[in-house]
Amino acid sequence: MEMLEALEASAYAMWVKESSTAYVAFLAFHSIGMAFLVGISGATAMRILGVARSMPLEPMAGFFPLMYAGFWINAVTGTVLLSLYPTKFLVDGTTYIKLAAVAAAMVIIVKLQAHVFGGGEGLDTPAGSKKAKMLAVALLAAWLIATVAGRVMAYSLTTKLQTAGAVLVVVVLALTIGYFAGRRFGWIESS
Amino acid sequence: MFGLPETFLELWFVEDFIAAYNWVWPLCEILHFIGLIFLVGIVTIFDLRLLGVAKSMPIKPLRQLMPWAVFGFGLCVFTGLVFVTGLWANVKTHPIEALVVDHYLQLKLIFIALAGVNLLAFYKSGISEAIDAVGPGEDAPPQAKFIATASLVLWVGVVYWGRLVPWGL
Repeated sequence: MEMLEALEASAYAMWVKESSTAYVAFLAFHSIGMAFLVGISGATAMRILGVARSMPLEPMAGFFPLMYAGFWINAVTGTVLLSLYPTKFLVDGTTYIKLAAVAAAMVIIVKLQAHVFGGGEGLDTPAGSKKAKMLAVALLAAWLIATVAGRVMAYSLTTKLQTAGAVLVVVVLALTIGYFAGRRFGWIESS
Repeated sequence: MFGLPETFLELWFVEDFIAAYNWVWPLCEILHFIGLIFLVGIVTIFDLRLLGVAKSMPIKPLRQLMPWAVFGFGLCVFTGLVFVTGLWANVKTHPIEALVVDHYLQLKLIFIALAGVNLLAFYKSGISEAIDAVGPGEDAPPQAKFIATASLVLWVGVVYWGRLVPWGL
């Protein structure tokens, strides 16, 4: 704990916290990195799950360099933000949930890339398609957990739990409505 | 301010809802973030293709992602309205006061308006129809590239200034 307190009070941490632009710039770039990383990988996952079916999947790989750039922007800005308040965030379980969800998402992205874009089985066989879809669902779930955990880190434990419950209700409602609307309007193929 | 009542843009039922349940504000923040991921993620993909990234992607099928970007924008507008109309319940600042003192909020709104004008130019100039003919390996016309660059800069700017809004109050 002493080491964390020393880091929190270090000249570098104090400079970033007291600067009128540095701290908020790190926060803002963390959001921009998130939009690139989650947006591009999420769109790829949605395409695998059947959204925008006439859009060819292979060329999506051309956007992956920006997706990885988003990851590195967030790795750097996230490390800086974490190092400013280590006595708060490193003793908070929510931080570890977020980090675990991000790590899981990145592992899934690598697996998905190898399976669909890297000469793997791809979507051509039923088994290959099923595996890709499972990975895509897992990726979207991991990003949802990471986004929720990242956002509620600023709140009390009670609010965190209540918010997580509210998000769960909203997601279940959205998926239920989406499923029935999808069947009704033909967005989802009946198997 | 501006001859408007102090409570301009405030909605009592939104304020009461936020005050009664601690989870409403963070839930809206999460939905706002999810909306921006849909919106900025998909717009970025579209704009980058116009700029020549992933050139093996034909442009027309990319349009199928656009309803999800519109969904993201709708989510951001809805949750943004909750933040504005219920602001008093969270930070004891009137929305009209926030609009006047918060330069980051002003910049965010200006960037959204400019992105709207850019989108209007995209559709009204005929570029929107013209790019449908751009196939795999082909370049988009220079005007489309200009609009795509403006769009990227403006939407990334919206995220940047938007994240700073709480620090401008």
